[in-house]
Amino acid sequence: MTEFLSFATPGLPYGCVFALLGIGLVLTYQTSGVFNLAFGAQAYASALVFYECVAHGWPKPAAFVVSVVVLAPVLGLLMDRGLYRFVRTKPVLVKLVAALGMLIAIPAVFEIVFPAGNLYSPPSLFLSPSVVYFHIVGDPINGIELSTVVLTLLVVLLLSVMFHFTQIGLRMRAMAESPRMVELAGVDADSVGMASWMLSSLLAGLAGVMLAPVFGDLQALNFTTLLVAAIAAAAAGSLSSLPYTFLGGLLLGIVGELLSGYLPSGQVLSSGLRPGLPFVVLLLLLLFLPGLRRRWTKVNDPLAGVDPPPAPLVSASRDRSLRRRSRIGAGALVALFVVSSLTWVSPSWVFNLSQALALAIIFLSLVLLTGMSGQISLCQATFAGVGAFTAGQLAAHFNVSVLAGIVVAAVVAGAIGALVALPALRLGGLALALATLAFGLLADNIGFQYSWSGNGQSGISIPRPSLGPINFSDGRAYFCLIVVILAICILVVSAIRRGTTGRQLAALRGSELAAASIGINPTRAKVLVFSVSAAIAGVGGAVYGSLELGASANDFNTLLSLVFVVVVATVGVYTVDGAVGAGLAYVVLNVALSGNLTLRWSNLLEVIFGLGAVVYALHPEGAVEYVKRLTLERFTRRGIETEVLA
Amino acid sequence: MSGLLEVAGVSKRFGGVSALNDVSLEVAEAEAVGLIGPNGAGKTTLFDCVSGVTVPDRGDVFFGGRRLGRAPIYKRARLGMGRTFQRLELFAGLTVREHLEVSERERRADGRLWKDLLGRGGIRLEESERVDETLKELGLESVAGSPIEALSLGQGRLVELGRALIREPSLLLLDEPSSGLDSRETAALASVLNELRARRPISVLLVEHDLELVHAVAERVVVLDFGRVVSSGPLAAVLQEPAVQEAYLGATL
Amino acid sequence: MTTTVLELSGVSAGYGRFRALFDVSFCLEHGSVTALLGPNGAGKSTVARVASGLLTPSAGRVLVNGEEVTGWPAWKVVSRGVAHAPEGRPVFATLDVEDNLRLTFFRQLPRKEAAEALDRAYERFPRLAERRSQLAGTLSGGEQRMLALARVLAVPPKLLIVDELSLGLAPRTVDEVFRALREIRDSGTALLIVEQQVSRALELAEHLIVLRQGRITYDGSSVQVSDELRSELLAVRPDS
Repeated sequence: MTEFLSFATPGLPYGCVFALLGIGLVLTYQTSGVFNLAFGAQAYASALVFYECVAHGWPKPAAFVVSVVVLAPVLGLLMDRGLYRFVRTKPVLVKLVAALGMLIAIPAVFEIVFPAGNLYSPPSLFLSPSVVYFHIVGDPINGIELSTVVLTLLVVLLLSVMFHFTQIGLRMRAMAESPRMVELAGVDADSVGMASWMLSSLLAGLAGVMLAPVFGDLQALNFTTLLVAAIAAAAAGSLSSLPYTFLGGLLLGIVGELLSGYLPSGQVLSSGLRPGLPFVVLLLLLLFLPGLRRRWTKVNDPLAGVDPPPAPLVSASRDRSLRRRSRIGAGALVALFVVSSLTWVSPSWVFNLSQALALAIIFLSLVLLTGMSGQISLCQATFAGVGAFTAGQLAAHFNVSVLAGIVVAAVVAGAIGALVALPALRLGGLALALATLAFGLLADNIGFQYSWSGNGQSGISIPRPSLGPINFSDGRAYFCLIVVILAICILVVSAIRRGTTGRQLAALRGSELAAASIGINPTRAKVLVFSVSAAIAGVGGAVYGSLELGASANDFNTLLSLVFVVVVATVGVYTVDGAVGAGLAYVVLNVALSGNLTLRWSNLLEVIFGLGAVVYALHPEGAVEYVKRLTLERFTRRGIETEVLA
Repeated sequence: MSGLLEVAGVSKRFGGVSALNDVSLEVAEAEAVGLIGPNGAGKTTLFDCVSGVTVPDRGDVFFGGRRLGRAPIYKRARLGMGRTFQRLELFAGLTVREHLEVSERERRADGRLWKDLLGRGGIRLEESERVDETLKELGLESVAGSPIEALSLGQGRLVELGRALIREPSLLLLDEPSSGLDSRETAALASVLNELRARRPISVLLVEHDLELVHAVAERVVVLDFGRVVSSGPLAAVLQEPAVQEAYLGATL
Repeated sequence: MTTTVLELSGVSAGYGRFRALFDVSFCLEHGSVTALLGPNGAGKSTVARVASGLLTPSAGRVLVNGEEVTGWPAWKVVSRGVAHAPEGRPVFATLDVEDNLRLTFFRQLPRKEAAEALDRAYERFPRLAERRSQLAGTLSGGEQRMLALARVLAVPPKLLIVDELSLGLAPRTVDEVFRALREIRDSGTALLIVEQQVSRALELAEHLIVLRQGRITYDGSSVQVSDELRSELLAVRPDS
């Protein structure tokens, strides 16, 4: 018993950390409808500024005021004015992408401003980490642990009171359902939205400064990894109850410590299980907590009709001659591109373009998944990794040709995709996004660490394929092969779009209830497309790995998955050209920036991608589609104003 | 008589409130039954139990002699239930024609992924012909190519009807089809329904407030109040009953 | 002080590239009751949204009590005495009944008066009192409309816009809704009623505006309506 308690007690501060972040998620979701994945990033920003201030000799109270009381709300204000107020009445998934953009951009911005290397042992807020205040069953309780627990309790209490017993709390809760209805109640929805973002950002800042000393050093990644635990805690509270979120977080922390206490140490499983635990808990909650289902599917805004309908895709315009002309133009462009790459383009750029097209294959999987079926996956890089490692391991251990390996990679990634999607899909889009995020982090920490899969940081080697007499180790030859594989994937996606499955998906996007009422099995269709999408990502990953002649767990980490979603969403998630454009944009920007910048400014790439989310919020159809529309309208020289009555 | 649809002793509670209390009713082959009652009487809940949106706490729904239990919506559709919705549930972004094409393909149930991948997932000639036929039946030929957003509410209801009918259901569930329609559109809907039923034997369960429409379509009505069946029979007779007048019509008659 | 509570002049409006209203102009008098009728898709709801500030017109002006409110956010228009019960579900489904009411009451009144107004609202609508801690989304259709009406009664607005309030309600509940509307009218509030149930609307209204394809085709007394227009509005069947 004493042993049990001595293992459990150290879990309390961790539990409080999870709880605090979980409460931040619930608060933001309840007041703005945004599932704020950037909450950890905001926390990191305040923690970083606090660290820097203290490191420069400021007294802690002054540093606290600057980093938490001033900076955090200002950050919230900026995000609201610059981004979130535009997505207030948009669908959940648009909001999710906006938050993803912030998750990527915020740490990058702050690391450009404060270009420090490793920040070890972050300072604690008030109580000293080295002083033991008292013992619980022989466990020493130090200052950090004590202050974390006390502050978390205080925050839960204050927020619960504010949320349920004050006017501003009531207004914030009403906002989540319909900002326009709030306006009709005579309340300035814009100010309430602003206030709630400032409040949640303040909470994030407070959490960040408090949490930092719990870790040995200060890294953005720590805060992102914490997110899954926070999501699990929020799920335990059904995304609405602050006390249950608190309890959920607490339990998660304690169970995690118990596991690491009782499991044998020094193995991948035990070191990985702690980060993996939240994933398992989250999945169990998704499966067995019936109340969640109601919460995840957001209530429709009764005034959604006031929004202008989304503009139809340019390809949907039925002008035949224009379509034929643009098809011929596109064909010529592709031919020019391929021929140039094979003749005068330098080998290093052939390599870059190969990278772009390999990425385009992975991005294509998002076009199929997000563009056609409206789902979001936050682990496409993981599926790509599964593909790469499958092909590599098969070649190394079974001497399987890489080309055959790519096919097997597709099957394996597809099967794993189906397994991930099956439980989460019953709960709808947001739950799927979160489950995939958790799955990706699980793969980062456990799955890809084993020597039989990704072999951790050291990675595995993946040879170039060969086909009979043709060897693709030459850059230009492999480029041709990638073009062919990309073309096959494009054909697959287009065939699905035109076929039965594509029409089923279109129907499901329009109305799941009505689709079911004509006999479409929603789960089957969605799992199918998720699986095919994972398979395509697997192919892309294998192609990419073979291009690089090897891959490690780091090459396919979850952060990359998030970047992928933002990049594809920004460039164009509805069309095949969007995926190819995204691949090219990603690589060209990467080359242009990383070659010419110092380490400090290399983060600029992430800032650009992150801010791409702002573009997405304003133009969900994506940059490629936007440019196409502009050109089309210039060519046809007529404002398309159809007199369709609402 | 053996009913096509049999609701046997269905009860359903939400929180502490009893929405349905031991409700039983039958719809025979080729019969049209109207389900009427005041707001909050449990009509929508009963409708949901039949169509598979919710599962009753007690009691069962039988369809063509089969116990439905917890069968999901799409399975019920495959057994021969078609439905329309009170608030239009159309497929945004698709044309009228495409709505019927999706449904027709589902009826044939041969849309496999490998067929798509071999490029054989397109619309086939015989499907196209059936779609044309249904469009004509409902008088929707002129708007066949229009995006669904450009239709009026009345046309939208006809599209929902067509989408359900092309699957050749044996039972058609209509959820307040006149809601939001003006009187002319409602009358048009009634005549479409009647022409249809004259051509083929199809059972109808109609939830409706508009007594004109109920009168025009249904042979028999069932009146619900406070989650119980309070009366059933021909509309004119039922309306004479004091209990029904009190519950449903209040002071207006 | 002007005699018009609402004036639209030359208003055009739409959604994205779709235009729903073309050059619409009309005036509503203080305390008057106006029925806004027309077939589906004529733009009736769009008029209601423009009037309450939910939708900013692309051309034209909106005046409330003679004050120009074009382009104002809805909450500011509301503060000038315009209340709008939108079509569909005019309540916050995820809040309980009491919170639905408190949201407006405590915005418009000082704390003590608001609490009294809350009690009065429950007195008027006893059904709501029974369900005060129930989520509004679980109320029946009729109860939701009642809640929407109860909400505007804290401070009687100068103009109340109701959009399809009787949609999908049983005849008896429609009676209750119209009785409540009549009482609100008697307290001096002008009404703009968007309705499908033509004869009910005409019973209450003295002023009639008919909208067709985004344009006004009739604007005048509801009593002197020509037989032709009346039968056209009533169409095939007389309301029971």
